[in-house]
Amino acid sequence: MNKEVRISLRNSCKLILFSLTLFVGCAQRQETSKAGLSIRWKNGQATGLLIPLSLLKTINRDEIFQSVQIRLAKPGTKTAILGEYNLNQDTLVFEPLIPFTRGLRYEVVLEKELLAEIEIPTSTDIPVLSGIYPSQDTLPENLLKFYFVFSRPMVEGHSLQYISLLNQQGNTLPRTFLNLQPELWNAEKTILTLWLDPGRIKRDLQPNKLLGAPLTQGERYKLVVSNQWPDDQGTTLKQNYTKNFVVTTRDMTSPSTKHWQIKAPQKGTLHPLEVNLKETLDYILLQNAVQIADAQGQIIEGNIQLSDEERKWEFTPSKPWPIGEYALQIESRLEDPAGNNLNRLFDRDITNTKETPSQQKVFVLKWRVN
Amino acid sequence: MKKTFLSLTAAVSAALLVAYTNRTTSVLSGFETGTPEVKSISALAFGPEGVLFIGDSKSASVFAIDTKDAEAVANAKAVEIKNIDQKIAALLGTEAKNITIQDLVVNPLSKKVYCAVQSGSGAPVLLKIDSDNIQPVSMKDIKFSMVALNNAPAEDAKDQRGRPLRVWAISDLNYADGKVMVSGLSNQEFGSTFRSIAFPFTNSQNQSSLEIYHAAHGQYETNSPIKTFTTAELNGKKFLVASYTCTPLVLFPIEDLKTGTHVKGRTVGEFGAGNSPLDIITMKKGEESFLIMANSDRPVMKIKFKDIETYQGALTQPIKENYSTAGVPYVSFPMVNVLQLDKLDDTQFIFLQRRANGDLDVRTSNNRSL
Repeated sequence: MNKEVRISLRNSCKLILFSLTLFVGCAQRQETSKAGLSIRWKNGQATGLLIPLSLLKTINRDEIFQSVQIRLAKPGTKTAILGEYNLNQDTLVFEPLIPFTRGLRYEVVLEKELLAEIEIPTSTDIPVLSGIYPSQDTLPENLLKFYFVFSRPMVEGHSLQYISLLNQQGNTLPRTFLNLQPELWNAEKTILTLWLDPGRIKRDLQPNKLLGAPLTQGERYKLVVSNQWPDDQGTTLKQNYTKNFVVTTRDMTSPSTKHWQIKAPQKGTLHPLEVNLKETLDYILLQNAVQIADAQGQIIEGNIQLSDEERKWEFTPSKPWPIGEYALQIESRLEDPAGNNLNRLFDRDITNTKETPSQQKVFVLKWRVN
Repeated sequence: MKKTFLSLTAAVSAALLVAYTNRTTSVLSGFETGTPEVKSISALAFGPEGVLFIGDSKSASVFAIDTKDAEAVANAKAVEIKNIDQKIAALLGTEAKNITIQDLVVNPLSKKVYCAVQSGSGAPVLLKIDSDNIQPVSMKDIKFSMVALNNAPAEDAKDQRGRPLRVWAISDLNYADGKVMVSGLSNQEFGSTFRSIAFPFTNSQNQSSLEIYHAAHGQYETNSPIKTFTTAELNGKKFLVASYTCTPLVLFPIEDLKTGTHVKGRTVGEFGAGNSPLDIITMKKGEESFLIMANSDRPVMKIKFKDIETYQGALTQPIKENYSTAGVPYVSFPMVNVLQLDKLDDTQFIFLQRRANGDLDVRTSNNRSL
């Protein structure tokens, strides 16, 4: 959807809303020109600037491309922004290489003369952090990762500036998380996977021997996410977020599906299949590595819900359950919060020949709807 | 006369044959013309004939583009750009905090520097740096070829609705001996994928994917993800030299990297606590070859190939002395906070460095420091 906002500049803060009404922050620097610049929007991003030719009327059409510059309104900035210019009947359209940044001001300059300024309004859609996983407040000493789930796409590449881990005394602990570039985001940029330094978790590796595990059994910690973290439109998080947790013993057991309890739904209903996992498992993998097939092997469509601190997996089908036999299929890559999967531990002691890791790709639990 | 005519015919035929062979052996011959839909730029690497490989995590593909920048220059001028992040931000009309320099590579023919930038809004930008002139590389109507990474998110895409899809974030990309090698990290399980893809790309995808393991001190085995890698010839044999998210430096014979195999590497070095490798390149001085490795929490290191060749151990003993490193010896350069490296010419390499005052500069190291 394209939205257009017209802003009349050099006209004491007068805003003419065009097409759709948007809240636009009143420009602090008041302009007096009657010339109207307008912004071209695409998916909430300012992808173009429309400059009426009347603003540039003293210039010959052929000379426009050499004479006009769009630049960031910032003291000392004389750099023209990279982009494409296109000339229409009565408008010069500038499309920057990347969308304009919300909250920043831009200048239209004609041969060193400042013609107009425009501010890209900030977004009113404020991002929130909707969850930190594992959601338990008791976590193993060898915890491998956290997931941060946001309501909107966030800016990538600077996450560790906004996340800190504090000990009981309120001191920030350095070198806890692994600084990865590129960061591990989902395609929508709404879920960040953050690893605790695996070198410090793996037994006998140097970081582990020297610094110990990032977390210590019996200690209390506070994970803090700063409200300065911007989304992809530059709007910062609604508030600071914290997660308090206490650390317990090292988890040295691979999760096992043998102990899972299945509560089958009744035939012809849309009641969920309930699976009690008996332990907290990985928030994302539970949604991605577990599925249900009918007797013919067809995958059942529906929705997964997690509850009881990721110890309960429920599946609500899109269509009522027919009578029959079903298979709960679990990929072996399903992990617990310490990175132990169904086949092997996070770090396996290869001198222990009794525990050979399984090569099984999928584990299956059969159940019936009667 | 007849003899002369025959000789002439033979010569012309030979010339035509050579021309034909040259034409068909160009890696560009199978390229199509169009606008590749690059959704993200995670890693860059140059191949033959000025071909630039772009690792795109978001679309789970590798693009090969014809830069048309294939004129060979023997020696390059040193590259020195202060505050490159601010310069690029000004050109893109935003602030430095909204961009990330994802990779920096040198075209081995023209010695020009290419730079991948991710912006907060998600749009990837490819820039070409010639002295202090920074220009965008247009993706419109260019010659390119692409390959989808097998079993990448596509395998999950057919999965049930609403499930978070797995992303393999491309951590490094290299080209050697007709093969594009890609390492990737999962945003879900603690796993990695490594692929070797024949180039020019073919329809019948010639890809090998493998599980790579390394053992720490002969006792604990993990399949930790590869962060960065290069290739090297040691004792007349080709090796993959990989560095992991948990720091160890591991060697794999290239000939062992076959599809579906469980390859175990030989750990030859551990380089310290709380440290993550960021980039590795190979350089030569006289007859001696080195690895140059940039690290998150340690200075840039130089490791002699000769020392790796003569080091026959596999770190079977845990490190006894605290704060020491183990395995092959190395020399630390007085260069800290180096984020990216690439070979500029036979005697120089460029590096991206965060200076003590917070500035982000591109600099060149000369032969003396090798």
